[in-house]
Amino acid sequence: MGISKTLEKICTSMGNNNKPTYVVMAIATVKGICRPMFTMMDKKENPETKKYTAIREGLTEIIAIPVYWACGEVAGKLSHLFAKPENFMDKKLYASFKAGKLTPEVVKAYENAKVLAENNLPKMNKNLMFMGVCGAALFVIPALCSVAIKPLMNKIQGNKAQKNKVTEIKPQASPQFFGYNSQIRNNDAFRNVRSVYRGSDSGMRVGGL
Amino acid sequence: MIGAISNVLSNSTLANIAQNTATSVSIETTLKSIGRPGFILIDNNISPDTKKYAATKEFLYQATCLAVYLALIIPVFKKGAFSLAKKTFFKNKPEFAKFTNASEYLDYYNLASKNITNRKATLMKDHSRNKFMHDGLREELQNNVKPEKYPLIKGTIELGSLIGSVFGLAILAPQISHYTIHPMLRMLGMEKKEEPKNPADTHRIDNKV
Repeated sequence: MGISKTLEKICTSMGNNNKPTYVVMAIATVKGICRPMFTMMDKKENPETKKYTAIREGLTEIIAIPVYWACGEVAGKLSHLFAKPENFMDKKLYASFKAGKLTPEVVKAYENAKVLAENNLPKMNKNLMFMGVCGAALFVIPALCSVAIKPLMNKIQGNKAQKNKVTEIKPQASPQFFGYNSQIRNNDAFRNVRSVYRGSDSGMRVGGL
Repeated sequence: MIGAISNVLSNSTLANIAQNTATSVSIETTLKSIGRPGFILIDNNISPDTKKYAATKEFLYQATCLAVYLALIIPVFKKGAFSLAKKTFFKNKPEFAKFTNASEYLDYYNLASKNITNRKATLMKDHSRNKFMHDGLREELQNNVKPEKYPLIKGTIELGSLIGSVFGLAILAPQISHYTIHPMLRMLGMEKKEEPKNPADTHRIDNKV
Protein backbone atom coordinates (compact mmCIF):
# COMPACT_ATOMS: atom_id res chain seq x y z
CA MET A 1 0.00 0.00 0.00
CA GLY A 2 1.46 3.34 -1.02
CA ILE A 3 1.84 6.36 1.23
CA SER A 4 -1.13 8.07 -0.40
CA LYS A 5 -3.40 5.08 0.23
CA THR A 6 -2.33 4.80 3.87
CA LEU A 7 -2.73 8.53 4.34
CA GLU A 8 -6.15 8.41 2.70
CA LYS A 9 -7.23 5.65 5.06
CA ILE A 10 -5.98 7.53 8.13
CA CYS A 11 -7.53 10.83 7.00
CA THR A 12 -10.89 9.28 6.13
CA SER A 13 -10.99 7.53 9.47
CA MET A 14 -10.14 10.76 11.30
CA GLY A 15 -12.69 12.66 9.25
CA ASN A 16 -15.41 10.22 10.19
CA ASN A 17 -14.49 9.85 13.80
CA ASN A 18 -12.03 12.28 15.34
CA LYS A 19 -11.98 11.56 19.05
CA PRO A 20 -10.89 14.40 21.37
CA THR A 21 -8.54 11.93 23.06
CA TYR A 22 -6.35 11.48 19.97
CA VAL A 23 -4.68 14.87 20.06
CA VAL A 24 -4.04 15.01 23.80
CA MET A 25 -2.61 11.49 23.78
CA ALA A 26 -0.39 12.37 20.82
CA ILE A 27 0.87 15.51 22.56
CA ALA A 28 1.54 13.62 25.79
CA THR A 29 3.40 10.88 23.89
CA VAL A 30 5.68 13.32 22.08
CA LYS A 31 6.23 15.25 25.30
CA GLY A 32 7.09 12.03 27.08
CA ILE A 33 9.84 11.43 24.52
CA CYS A 34 11.07 14.95 23.78
CA ARG A 35 11.14 16.53 27.21
CA PRO A 36 13.39 13.95 28.86
CA MET A 37 15.53 14.08 25.73
CA PHE A 38 15.90 17.88 25.91
CA THR A 39 16.65 17.61 29.60
CA MET A 40 19.38 15.04 29.02
CA MET A 41 20.88 17.21 26.28
CA ASP A 42 21.40 20.12 28.68
CA LYS A 43 25.16 20.28 29.15
CA LYS A 44 25.11 22.79 32.02
CA GLU A 45 23.39 20.49 34.48
CA ASN A 46 24.65 17.90 36.88
CA PRO A 47 24.15 14.38 35.38
CA GLU A 48 22.26 13.14 38.45
CA THR A 49 19.89 16.11 38.36
CA LYS A 50 19.33 15.61 34.66
CA LYS A 51 18.60 11.93 35.14
CA TYR A 52 16.15 12.61 37.96
CA THR A 53 14.33 15.33 36.05
CA ALA A 54 14.18 13.31 32.84
CA ILE A 55 12.73 10.26 34.60
CA ARG A 56 10.18 12.41 36.38
CA GLU A 57 9.13 14.10 33.17
CA GLY A 58 8.82 10.76 31.41
CA LEU A 59 6.78 9.31 34.27
CA THR A 60 4.44 12.28 34.26
CA GLU A 61 3.58 11.73 30.62
CA ILE A 62 3.38 7.95 31.09
CA ILE A 63 0.68 8.62 33.68
CA ALA A 64 -1.02 11.22 31.49
CA ILE A 65 -1.47 9.05 28.38
CA PRO A 66 -3.67 6.29 29.86
CA VAL A 67 -5.53 8.78 32.05
CA TYR A 68 -6.51 10.87 29.05
CA TRP A 69 -7.68 7.76 27.25
CA ALA A 70 -9.57 6.37 30.25
CA CYS A 71 -11.25 9.66 31.18
CA GLY A 72 -12.33 10.24 27.58
CA GLU A 73 -13.66 6.73 27.12
CA VAL A 74 -15.42 6.56 30.50
CA ALA A 75 -17.04 9.96 29.98
CA GLY A 76 -18.05 8.93 26.46
CA LYS A 77 -19.75 5.80 27.80
CA LEU A 78 -21.97 8.00 29.96
CA SER A 79 -23.71 9.16 26.77
CA HIS A 80 -25.97 6.10 27.03
CA LEU A 81 -27.38 7.53 30.26
CA PHE A 82 -28.45 10.72 28.52
CA ALA A 83 -29.42 9.46 25.08
CA LYS A 84 -32.76 8.06 26.22
CA PRO A 85 -36.16 8.81 24.66
CA GLU A 86 -37.53 10.30 27.90
CA ASN A 87 -34.96 13.09 27.69
CA PHE A 88 -36.21 14.11 24.26
CA MET A 89 -39.96 14.17 24.84
CA ASP A 90 -42.49 16.14 26.79
CA LYS A 91 -42.65 15.10 30.45
CA LYS A 92 -46.42 14.73 30.48
CA LEU A 93 -46.38 12.59 27.35
CA TYR A 94 -43.65 10.42 28.80
CA ALA A 95 -45.63 10.02 32.04
CA SER A 96 -48.60 8.88 29.95
CA PHE A 97 -46.37 6.48 28.05
CA LYS A 98 -44.98 5.08 31.28
CA ALA A 99 -48.50 4.72 32.71
CA GLY A 100 -49.43 2.67 29.67
CA LYS A 101 -51.77 5.25 28.10
CA LEU A 102 -50.68 4.51 24.57
CA THR A 103 -52.71 7.03 22.58
CA PRO A 104 -51.51 7.69 18.98
CA GLU A 105 -50.09 11.05 20.12
CA VAL A 106 -48.07 9.47 22.92
CA VAL A 107 -46.78 6.65 20.71
CA LYS A 108 -45.78 9.10 17.97
CA ALA A 109 -43.98 11.35 20.47
CA TYR A 110 -42.15 8.34 21.90
CA GLU A 111 -41.09 7.08 18.48
CA ASN A 112 -39.81 10.54 17.53
CA ALA A 113 -37.92 10.82 20.81
CA LYS A 114 -36.38 7.40 20.24
CA VAL A 115 -35.11 8.45 16.81
CA LEU A 116 -33.78 11.72 18.25
CA ALA A 117 -31.99 9.88 21.04
CA GLU A 118 -30.37 7.50 18.54
CA ASN A 119 -29.33 10.35 16.25
CA ASN A 120 -27.89 12.35 19.11
CA LEU A 121 -25.94 9.51 20.70
CA PRO A 122 -22.72 10.05 18.66
CA LYS A 123 -22.80 13.80 19.36
CA MET A 124 -23.30 13.22 23.07
CA ASN A 125 -20.50 10.68 23.05
CA LYS A 126 -18.03 13.15 21.52
CA ASN A 127 -19.14 16.01 23.76
CA LEU A 128 -18.77 13.91 26.89
CA MET A 129 -15.40 12.63 25.72
CA PHE A 130 -14.24 16.21 25.28
CA MET A 131 -15.45 17.05 28.78
CA GLY A 132 -13.68 13.97 30.12
CA VAL A 133 -10.42 15.06 28.51
CA CYS A 134 -10.78 18.58 29.96
CA GLY A 135 -11.48 17.06 33.38
CA ALA A 136 -8.43 14.84 33.07
CA ALA A 137 -6.20 17.78 32.16
CA LEU A 138 -7.56 20.01 34.92
CA PHE A 139 -8.06 17.61 37.82
CA VAL A 140 -7.27 13.93 37.39
CA ILE A 141 -3.73 14.05 36.02
CA PRO A 142 -2.39 16.68 38.45
CA ALA A 143 -3.97 14.73 41.31
CA LEU A 144 -2.56 11.39 40.22
CA CYS A 145 0.87 12.85 39.57
CA SER A 146 1.09 14.45 42.99
CA VAL A 147 0.21 11.14 44.59
CA ALA A 148 2.13 8.72 42.40
CA ILE A 149 5.27 10.47 41.16
CA LYS A 150 7.16 10.68 44.42
CA PRO A 151 6.78 7.02 45.47
CA LEU A 152 7.55 5.91 41.93
CA MET A 153 10.65 8.08 41.83
CA ASN A 154 11.76 6.70 45.18
CA LYS A 155 11.32 3.16 43.86
CA ILE A 156 13.25 3.93 40.72
CA GLN A 157 15.98 5.73 42.59
CA GLY A 158 16.40 2.70 44.81
CA ASN A 159 18.71 3.27 47.75
CA LYS A 160 18.22 5.85 50.45
CA ALA A 161 21.41 7.73 49.82
CA GLN A 162 20.37 8.45 46.28
CA LYS A 163 16.93 9.44 47.54
CA ASN A 164 18.40 11.98 49.94
CA LYS A 165 20.52 13.40 47.21
CA VAL A 166 17.47 13.81 45.03
CA THR A 167 15.43 15.68 47.61
CA GLU A 168 18.18 18.22 47.84
CA ILE A 169 17.77 19.19 44.22
CA LYS A 170 16.48 22.70 43.93
CA PRO A 171 13.90 23.29 41.21
CA GLN A 172 15.81 26.40 40.24
CA ALA A 173 18.71 24.20 39.26
CA SER A 174 16.46 22.03 37.16
CA PRO A 175 16.79 22.46 33.43
CA GLN A 176 13.04 22.71 33.06
CA PHE A 177 11.73 26.20 33.27
CA PHE A 178 8.32 25.56 34.72
CA GLY A 179 9.25 23.70 37.87
CA TYR A 180 8.12 25.17 41.13
CA ASN A 181 10.25 25.89 44.12
CA SER A 182 10.29 23.54 47.06
CA GLN A 183 8.00 25.77 49.11
CA ILE A 184 4.97 24.58 47.22
CA ARG A 185 5.73 20.90 47.43
CA ASN A 186 3.03 18.92 49.09
CA ASN A 187 3.06 15.48 50.56
CA ASP A 188 -0.60 15.40 51.44
CA ALA A 189 -2.07 16.09 48.07
CA PHE A 190 -5.45 14.51 48.53
CA ARG A 191 -6.34 16.49 51.64
CA ASN A 192 -8.71 18.51 49.52
CA VAL A 193 -9.39 19.03 45.85
CA ARG A 194 -7.59 22.35 45.76
CA SER A 195 -4.44 20.88 47.19
CA VAL A 196 -4.06 18.84 44.04
CA TYR A 197 -2.46 21.89 42.53
CA ARG A 198 -0.53 22.91 45.56
CA GLY A 199 1.66 19.95 46.01
CA SER A 200 2.37 18.83 42.58
CA ASP A 201 5.74 19.95 41.46
CA SER A 202 5.03 17.87 38.43
CA GLY A 203 1.29 18.04 38.11
CA MET A 204 1.02 21.60 36.98
CA ARG A 205 2.70 21.00 33.74
CA VAL A 206 1.47 17.53 32.98
CA GLY A 207 -0.64 16.24 30.22
CA GLY A 208 1.09 17.65 27.29
CA LEU A 209 -0.94 20.79 26.86
CA MET B 1 -32.42 18.45 34.93
CA ILE B 2 -31.23 15.43 32.92
CA GLY B 3 -33.30 16.68 30.01
CA ALA B 4 -31.49 20.02 30.11
CA ILE B 5 -28.11 18.27 30.26
CA SER B 6 -29.16 16.07 27.32
CA ASN B 7 -30.03 19.18 25.32
CA VAL B 8 -26.61 20.68 25.97
CA LEU B 9 -24.86 17.42 25.15
CA SER B 10 -26.74 16.99 21.90
CA ASN B 11 -25.75 20.45 20.72
CA SER B 12 -24.27 20.27 17.21
CA THR B 13 -21.94 23.22 17.72
CA LEU B 14 -20.43 21.61 20.80
CA ALA B 15 -20.06 18.32 18.92
CA ASN B 16 -18.26 20.13 16.09
CA ILE B 17 -15.93 21.74 18.62
CA ALA B 18 -15.24 18.39 20.27
CA GLN B 19 -14.30 16.89 16.90
CA ASN B 20 -12.24 19.87 15.82
CA THR B 21 -8.67 19.40 16.99
CA ALA B 22 -7.63 23.05 16.81
CA THR B 23 -10.69 24.39 18.63
CA SER B 24 -10.71 21.71 21.30
CA VAL B 25 -7.01 22.18 22.06
CA SER B 26 -7.50 25.96 22.23
CA ILE B 27 -10.40 25.53 24.66
CA GLU B 28 -8.47 23.08 26.82
CA THR B 29 -5.46 25.38 26.97
CA THR B 30 -7.69 28.35 27.84
CA LEU B 31 -9.36 26.33 30.59
CA LYS B 32 -5.96 25.34 31.95
CA SER B 33 -4.68 28.89 31.86
CA ILE B 34 -7.63 29.98 34.00
CA GLY B 35 -8.26 26.84 36.03
CA ARG B 36 -4.78 25.88 37.16
CA PRO B 37 -3.71 29.34 38.44
CA GLY B 38 -7.20 29.66 39.95
CA PHE B 39 -6.76 26.45 41.93
CA ILE B 40 -3.39 27.62 43.19
CA LEU B 41 -4.83 30.96 44.28
CA ILE B 42 -7.72 29.47 46.27
CA ASP B 43 -5.43 27.14 48.21
CA ASN B 44 -5.12 28.46 51.74
CA ASN B 45 -2.32 26.14 52.76
CA ILE B 46 0.51 27.92 51.03
CA SER B 47 1.99 31.34 51.59
CA PRO B 48 0.49 34.23 49.55
CA ASP B 49 3.80 35.01 47.87
CA THR B 50 4.36 31.44 46.76
CA LYS B 51 0.77 31.21 45.55
CA LYS B 52 1.11 34.36 43.54
CA TYR B 53 4.40 33.25 42.03
CA ALA B 54 3.23 29.75 41.12
CA ALA B 55 -0.10 30.97 39.74
CA THR B 56 1.55 33.65 37.61
CA LYS B 57 4.12 31.22 36.30
CA GLU B 58 1.49 28.67 35.40
CA PHE B 59 -0.67 31.33 33.76
CA LEU B 60 2.25 32.64 31.73
CA TYR B 61 3.16 29.14 30.57
CA GLN B 62 -0.37 28.28 29.47
CA ALA B 63 -0.80 31.73 27.89
CA THR B 64 2.43 31.22 25.92
CA CYS B 65 1.16 27.85 24.74
CA LEU B 66 -2.13 29.40 23.66
CA ALA B 67 -0.44 32.31 21.91
CA VAL B 68 1.93 30.01 20.01
CA TYR B 69 -0.95 27.78 19.11
CA LEU B 70 -3.27 30.52 17.88
CA ALA B 71 -0.62 32.54 16.11
CA LEU B 72 1.34 29.83 14.42
CA ILE B 73 -0.17 26.39 14.55
CA ILE B 74 -3.74 27.04 13.43
CA PRO B 75 -2.92 29.19 10.40
CA VAL B 76 0.08 27.18 9.27
CA PHE B 77 -0.82 23.57 9.91
CA LYS B 78 -4.59 23.62 9.64
CA LYS B 79 -4.69 25.57 6.40
CA GLY B 80 -1.39 24.23 5.13
CA ALA B 81 -2.53 20.61 5.40
CA PHE B 82 -5.42 21.25 3.03
CA SER B 83 -3.25 23.04 0.48
CA LEU B 84 -0.49 20.45 0.66
CA ALA B 85 -2.91 17.53 0.30
CA LYS B 86 -4.68 19.23 -2.60
CA LYS B 87 -1.43 19.82 -4.46
CA THR B 88 0.34 16.55 -3.69
CA PHE B 89 -1.20 13.53 -1.97
CA PHE B 90 -4.81 13.93 -3.08
CA LYS B 91 -4.51 16.01 -6.25
CA ASN B 92 -6.69 13.56 -8.17
CA LYS B 93 -9.46 13.44 -5.61
CA PRO B 94 -12.56 15.21 -6.95
CA GLU B 95 -13.72 16.39 -3.51
CA PHE B 96 -10.60 18.53 -3.08
CA ALA B 97 -11.32 20.27 -6.39
CA LYS B 98 -14.68 21.45 -5.04
CA PHE B 99 -13.18 23.68 -2.35
CA THR B 100 -10.67 26.46 -2.81
CA ASN B 101 -9.32 26.43 0.77
CA ALA B 102 -9.74 24.92 4.22
CA SER B 103 -11.94 27.78 5.47
CA GLU B 104 -14.46 27.25 2.69
CA TYR B 105 -14.62 23.54 3.44
CA LEU B 106 -15.00 24.12 7.17
CA ASP B 107 -17.88 26.55 6.51
CA TYR B 108 -19.49 23.88 4.39
CA TYR B 109 -18.86 21.19 7.03
CA ASN B 110 -20.41 23.31 9.79
CA LEU B 111 -23.52 23.85 7.71
CA ALA B 112 -23.71 20.18 6.73
CA SER B 113 -23.65 19.25 10.42
CA LYS B 114 -26.77 21.29 11.14
CA ASN B 115 -30.26 19.94 10.67
CA ILE B 116 -31.88 20.83 7.35
CA THR B 117 -34.19 23.53 8.77
CA ASN B 118 -31.39 25.45 10.46
CA ARG B 119 -29.14 24.91 7.46
CA LYS B 120 -31.66 26.39 5.05
CA ALA B 121 -32.26 29.33 7.38
CA THR B 122 -28.51 30.03 7.56
CA LEU B 123 -28.13 29.78 3.79
CA MET B 124 -30.86 32.40 3.37
CA LYS B 125 -29.05 34.92 5.56
CA ASP B 126 -27.26 37.81 3.84
CA HIS B 127 -23.74 36.59 4.54
CA SER B 128 -24.46 33.17 3.04
CA ARG B 129 -26.60 34.13 0.05
CA ASN B 130 -23.76 33.81 -2.42
CA LYS B 131 -21.86 30.99 -0.78
CA PHE B 132 -21.27 27.56 -2.31
CA MET B 133 -22.66 28.51 -5.72
CA HIS B 134 -20.38 26.04 -7.50
CA ASP B 135 -20.07 22.28 -7.99
CA GLY B 136 -23.58 21.64 -6.70
CA LEU B 137 -22.57 22.31 -3.10
CA ARG B 138 -25.45 24.66 -2.36
CA GLU B 139 -28.00 22.21 -3.80
CA GLU B 140 -26.46 19.46 -1.70
CA LEU B 141 -26.87 21.55 1.43
CA GLN B 142 -30.38 22.71 0.59
CA ASN B 143 -31.90 19.47 -0.63
CA ASN B 144 -30.26 16.62 1.25
CA VAL B 145 -31.19 15.79 4.81
CA LYS B 146 -27.73 14.31 5.32
CA PRO B 147 -25.40 16.07 2.87
CA GLU B 148 -22.02 14.63 1.94
CA LYS B 149 -19.42 15.76 4.49
CA TYR B 150 -16.28 14.67 2.61
CA PRO B 151 -14.52 12.90 5.49
CA LEU B 152 -11.23 12.75 3.57
CA ILE B 153 -10.96 16.55 3.57
CA LYS B 154 -12.06 16.81 7.18
CA GLY B 155 -9.53 14.14 8.19
CA THR B 156 -6.75 15.88 6.27
CA ILE B 157 -7.40 19.14 8.11
CA GLU B 158 -7.62 17.33 11.46
CA LEU B 159 -4.41 15.41 10.83
CA GLY B 160 -2.66 18.69 9.97
CA SER B 161 -3.99 20.25 13.17
CA LEU B 162 -2.90 17.21 15.17
CA ILE B 163 0.64 17.34 13.81
CA GLY B 164 0.71 21.10 14.40
CA SER B 165 -0.62 20.71 17.95
CA VAL B 166 2.01 18.14 18.79
CA PHE B 167 4.80 20.24 17.31
CA GLY B 168 3.51 23.48 18.85
CA LEU B 169 2.62 22.31 22.31
CA ALA B 170 5.13 19.54 22.92
CA ILE B 171 8.20 21.06 21.26
CA LEU B 172 7.87 24.71 20.32
CA ALA B 173 5.89 26.26 23.19
CA PRO B 174 8.09 24.80 25.98
CA GLN B 175 11.21 26.11 24.21
CA ILE B 176 9.68 29.56 23.76
CA SER B 177 8.50 29.62 27.37
CA HIS B 178 11.98 28.66 28.47
CA TYR B 179 13.26 31.96 27.16
CA THR B 180 10.26 34.17 27.92
CA ILE B 181 8.77 33.18 31.27
CA HIS B 182 11.62 34.23 33.56
CA PRO B 183 12.11 37.65 31.91
CA MET B 184 8.35 38.19 32.16
CA LEU B 185 8.35 37.20 35.83
CA ARG B 186 11.23 39.62 36.43
CA MET B 187 9.29 42.34 34.64
CA LEU B 188 6.35 41.70 36.95
CA GLY B 189 8.71 41.97 39.92
CA MET B 190 8.24 38.35 40.99
CA GLU B 191 11.75 37.17 40.37
CA LYS B 192 15.12 38.78 40.93
CA LYS B 193 17.86 38.67 38.39
CA GLU B 194 20.23 35.81 39.20
CA GLU B 195 23.39 36.98 40.91
CA PRO B 196 26.66 35.24 39.99
CA LYS B 197 26.87 32.29 42.37
CA ASN B 198 30.61 32.22 42.98
CA PRO B 199 32.07 35.45 44.46
CA ALA B 200 35.44 34.53 42.99
CA ASP B 201 33.91 34.70 39.52
CA THR B 202 32.63 38.19 40.19
CA HIS B 203 36.04 39.23 41.43
CA ARG B 204 37.64 37.86 38.29
CA ILE B 205 35.21 39.81 36.12
CA ASP B 206 35.88 42.97 38.10
CA ASN B 207 39.59 42.57 37.65
CA LYS B 208 39.17 42.22 33.95
CA VAL B 209 37.10 45.39 33.85
